[in-house]
Amino acid sequence: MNKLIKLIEQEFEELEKGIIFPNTNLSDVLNLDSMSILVLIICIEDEYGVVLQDDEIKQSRTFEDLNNLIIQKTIVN
Amino acid sequence: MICSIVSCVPKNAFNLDDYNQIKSDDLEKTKLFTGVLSKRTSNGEFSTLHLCINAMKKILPLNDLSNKDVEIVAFVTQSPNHSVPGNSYSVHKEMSLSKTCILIDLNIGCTGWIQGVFIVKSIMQQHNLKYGILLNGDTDVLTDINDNSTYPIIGDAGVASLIVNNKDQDVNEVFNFSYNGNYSDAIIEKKDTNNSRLLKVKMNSSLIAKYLLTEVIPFSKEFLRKNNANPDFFIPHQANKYFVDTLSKKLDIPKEKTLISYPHYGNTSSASIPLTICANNQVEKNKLFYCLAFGVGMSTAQMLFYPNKDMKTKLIEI
Repeated sequence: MNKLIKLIEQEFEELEKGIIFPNTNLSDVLNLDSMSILVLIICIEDEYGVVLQDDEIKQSRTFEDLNNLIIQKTIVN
Repeated sequence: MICSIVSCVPKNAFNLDDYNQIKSDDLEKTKLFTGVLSKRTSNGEFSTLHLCINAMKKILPLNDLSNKDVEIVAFVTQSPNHSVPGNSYSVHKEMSLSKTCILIDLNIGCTGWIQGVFIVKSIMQQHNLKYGILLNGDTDVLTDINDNSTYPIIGDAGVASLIVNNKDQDVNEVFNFSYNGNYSDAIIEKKDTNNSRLLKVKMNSSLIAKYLLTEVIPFSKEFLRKNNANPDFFIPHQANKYFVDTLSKKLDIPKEKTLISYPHYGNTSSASIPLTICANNQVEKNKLFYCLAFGVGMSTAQMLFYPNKDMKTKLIEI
């Protein structure tokens, strides 16, 4: 979980550090516009080797949900 | 082989700081992500045709050629002045070209320069033609001013490339193409929100990202491996900073070998690679250039080539 939070803080330079927790709502922090989703797809693929779909990201309510999705996809791969 | 490139852009620069269609936070994010600080726009004063004709008027005397020497003209654009007839006929009229000069109009997006070089070169070799002109360009008329994923970054440019059929150097360029129509919705014309008769290009960024990761990057790695290529310069399509940086990183090409023009010209569709070569006029020629474009379709086009050390390039403003 910490790895994902660190990755997002690093990729989204404009974000204030320390505001993301596992139960934080994704859309509260990232706005989930097309640019944010694109950055998420690319940085997650680079770090974890899995390609997420934009609707999968939008369905993840919290950062923990997103982390679980990545774990699930990594196991399938 | 590609012997000369002249790029023509409007003098008028649109600074992203002046883009007031979105909130300032979103503007900062757009600048950070796209890396675009300004783009050139003619505000409807010049069309793609106008920009390309100006480039062509410069490239012929620059290479001691007359209009009648040109045996083939291919015009690549997605913003032609008219659907009927194609822009190449207007070029023929304006430049008083020979009646036997072959005219082609091609509707291709960001991969249009590499595809255009391939098509023109192939026809020239087949029919033993000596001089060909490839014209590439687009303007921001295709974008909706309220769409922050296209309008602030799509810039205007027109490029003329001189292709000369030298039999002894006919293997100078190595090409590779790949297409996937399943991604056709990724960049597509849709009706403008304010005027249902107007069509504007919409981008689905996540589909483009998926195509980049699952197709463009594997294809390009394979292409470089197969050709045992270690490029001296990498000239990617100038989609935006994030895509250019991702490509350099994934292909393990250092940033200092990656040529860019997006900070001041934005994404100029099929003109972006030749415009980037002109904007980096100082780089040494006679080195291995690797051009990689991806876009509308979706399509991927790659080319490895050694520009002649005497290749003449020029960037002009009107």
